Amino acid sequence: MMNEKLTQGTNKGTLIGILNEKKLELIDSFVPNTSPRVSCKTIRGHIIVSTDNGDFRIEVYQNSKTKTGVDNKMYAAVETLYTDYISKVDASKNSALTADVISVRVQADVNDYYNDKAKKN
Amino acid sequence: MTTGLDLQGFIWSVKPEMKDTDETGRVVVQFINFGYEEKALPFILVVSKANNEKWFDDNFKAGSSVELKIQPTYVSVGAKKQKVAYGEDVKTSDGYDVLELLVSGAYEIIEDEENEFFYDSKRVKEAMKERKVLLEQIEADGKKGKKPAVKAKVSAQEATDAFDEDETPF
Repeated sequence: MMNEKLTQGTNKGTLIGILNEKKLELIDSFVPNTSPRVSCKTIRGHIIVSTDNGDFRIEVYQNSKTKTGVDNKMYAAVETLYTDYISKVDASKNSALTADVISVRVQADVNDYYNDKAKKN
Repeated sequence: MTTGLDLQGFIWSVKPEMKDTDETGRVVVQFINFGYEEKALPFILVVSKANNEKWFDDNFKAGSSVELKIQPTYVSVGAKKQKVAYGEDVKTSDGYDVLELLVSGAYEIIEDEENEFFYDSKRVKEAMKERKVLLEQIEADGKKGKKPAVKAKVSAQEATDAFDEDETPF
């Protein structure tokens, strides 16, 4: 019998490169759509990873808590990125430091929006 | 320092890449990956000469279900250089970077209609019609002024004002 379902297909990849730039900030925040509001720490900003195929800008936004108020497992990894990883920009200011090589899991997506000036999608 | 991506899906079309009226020697693949709840995610992929575009064109036809290996790569376009009397050409415009999804490999085409990753062309067309409706909705919302995605641009005037002709020694 023919498969008529459009099964979710593989969409995964990896970027491995030098952490070129790290512009992250740690703020006090709330987990969105929670009542009563769940307070949390949030690390947000972006990093730029330099690979042989160009520089990739990766947006970062990670809360320390989930909607139920428990620790978010992903936060520890992003916290390590925020506190420990050395970027090329950091290394350029301090000769004792060396920029880290970083591996990032990625997937492809489409960004649909309407451009008001071009009058098209 | 590598980049790599595996994309499973459906080949919508395979066509030679054109620049004006000339073929560039590369092949453009319209490819659809399916996400959560059968959401169609269309991508434009490119097969370069380095990755044997002719073999791909001969063997991978529109309507095939296949998993491709992709190399996301930024390429610089629009850079302009000016010839000078002596020395290397002077770059007059940096241009900008465009992300290309280059096909670097492929698994065997899935021909078994019972395989969960075999995509029925009729169902794919339906999913693309649903996507068209979604895009029309986004456009209608945009025209009503709901969150228009307008990016600010530095005007050409502002950029050229930094080079004041009166301050040059000639």
